[in-house]
Amino acid sequence: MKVIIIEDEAPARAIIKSFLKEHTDIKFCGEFSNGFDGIKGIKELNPDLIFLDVQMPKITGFEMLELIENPPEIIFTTAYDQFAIKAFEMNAVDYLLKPFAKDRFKQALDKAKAKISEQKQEPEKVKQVMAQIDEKPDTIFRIVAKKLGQIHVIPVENLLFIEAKDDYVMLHTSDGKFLKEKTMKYYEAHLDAQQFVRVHRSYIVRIDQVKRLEPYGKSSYIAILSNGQKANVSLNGYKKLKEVLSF
Amino acid sequence: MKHPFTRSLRNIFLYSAVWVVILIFHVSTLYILYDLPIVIALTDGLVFNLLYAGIGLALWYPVLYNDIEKNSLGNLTINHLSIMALTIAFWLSIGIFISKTIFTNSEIYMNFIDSSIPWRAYVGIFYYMAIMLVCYLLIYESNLKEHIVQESRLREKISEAELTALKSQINPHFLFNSLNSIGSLTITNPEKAHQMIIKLSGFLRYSLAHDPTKLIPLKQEIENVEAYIAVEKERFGDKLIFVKEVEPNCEKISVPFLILQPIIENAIKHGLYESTIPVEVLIKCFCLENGNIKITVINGFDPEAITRKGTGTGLKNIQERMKIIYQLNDLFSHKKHDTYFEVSLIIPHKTVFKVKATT
Repeated sequence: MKVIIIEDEAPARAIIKSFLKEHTDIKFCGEFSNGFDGIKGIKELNPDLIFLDVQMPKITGFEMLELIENPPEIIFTTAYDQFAIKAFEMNAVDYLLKPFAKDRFKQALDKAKAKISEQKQEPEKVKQVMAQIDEKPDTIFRIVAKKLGQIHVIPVENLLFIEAKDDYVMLHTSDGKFLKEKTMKYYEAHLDAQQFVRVHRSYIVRIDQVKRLEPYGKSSYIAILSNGQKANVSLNGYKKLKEVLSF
Repeated sequence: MKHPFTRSLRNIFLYSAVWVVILIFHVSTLYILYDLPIVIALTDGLVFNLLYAGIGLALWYPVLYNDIEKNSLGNLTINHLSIMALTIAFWLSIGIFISKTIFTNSEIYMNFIDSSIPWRAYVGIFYYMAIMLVCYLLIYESNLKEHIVQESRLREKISEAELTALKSQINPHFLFNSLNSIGSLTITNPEKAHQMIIKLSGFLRYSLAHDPTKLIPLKQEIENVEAYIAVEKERFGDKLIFVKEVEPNCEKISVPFLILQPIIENAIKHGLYESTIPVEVLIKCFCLENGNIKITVINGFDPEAITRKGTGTGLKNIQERMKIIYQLNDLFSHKKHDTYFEVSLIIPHKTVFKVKATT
């Protein structure tokens, strides 16, 4: 069974390595100190289990998971993140609260081993955790996305508009277009409502990108954006724009 | 509130002086315009003005019990009109009685005094209003002063409370991660674990044990920062580079307690925690020509990291505390450059505002 550690603090990695040594059936394959290296490591080493820290520089453990298609079994580690802990507990995903005891570590590891040997991995549970994390009532300040194997961390300031694409959303940014597996509802809830308005079932636009509105059909409009692209505006969306821009 | 006219010798003198001036006007008017003999003019003046001066002292009490803020305008008007009527009736009847008793035999005066009642009444009303005005102004002034004192006391209290909150607000993320590192070291390197426990204890003790309202030598503040850095260094190794440039003669200067640590913590949080490359934290302290000292904290950051714009509460607290302690606005500044963040503090060599030294 192949295991890797993704964690930014050396002593925190050392204790996991030290505990792992006592399990002869574990093959420790590598350690990574941030999410970017972690993604590469997962790709190259194809581990069965990851010890994943939540708080890391540039991208968090959760953001890293958003970029992986079929994540292996995961044991989260965190020192203090009440919101994440609640999400883990609600979805019965295993996590270690730093500092953790050897017994507790063994328990988590045994559980993971059992799941892996039974081939009963539960990636949907991790997905549920992520969905739970998305409920965190914060406005987001960056978006992580992958395109052609490259990872992009995009500041929200560069986001121009969002277009719904079936189960995905297309993020149009000044750095290009990115497809993400998230909902319009998520972005509507987590973007600053003073800057972004959901003008249509399929569109969220950045207000300062709207150049003009043209009537379209009986009771809807089309927004012409400053880069020339168009976004549909429903009657309801028109009302919201009117409110925010007070025209 | 004490009676303002008799509160001090100075006030008694002022009050008397005003009445002496009025007396002089009164007497000269009677003597020059009404051609009354000087003795009669003087006696008349003395009787009526001394009497009003005495009544004037008593008028303070109706003012005290007719608080402008607590009574309606209607109430105030009715009260004052009736007090005024009583005052003037009392003043005139006693005054006239005394003067008439003295000058029973003077026909000139007897004629004069009866015709003088209307203007005496007008003058009485004017005096009444003048005294009321002065009394209310004095009350207003004293309330204002009290208000200002209370406000500054309140602000002091608030900043104390904030500091207490700050003290108990040792970043839990830092604390638990440090404990995790210590736990790890107990297995891999017990000697180092012991050292780290000592450093962490020192840091915690310093934060918890001192009186937050006192000033403390810069040397101790720097030592505390070093203990904090030592713990972080254990967690992050070579990724954290700490440089200290402190002029030795600055170290004795007193600075507000726990003023440096939040700045360093801020530098670490936004610089080190969010970086995948090594980050330098530099602290510089040197004396300026005017005897003040300047403390600068510079931290590098990973320009590629996209982080949440901090709410700046930590730095705002520092700014607020500096303002309250030294009563100066421009002691704190911060600036974001392309690759580094800079925070500067000026510590005046003299405290303008004694921090709690009085109580």
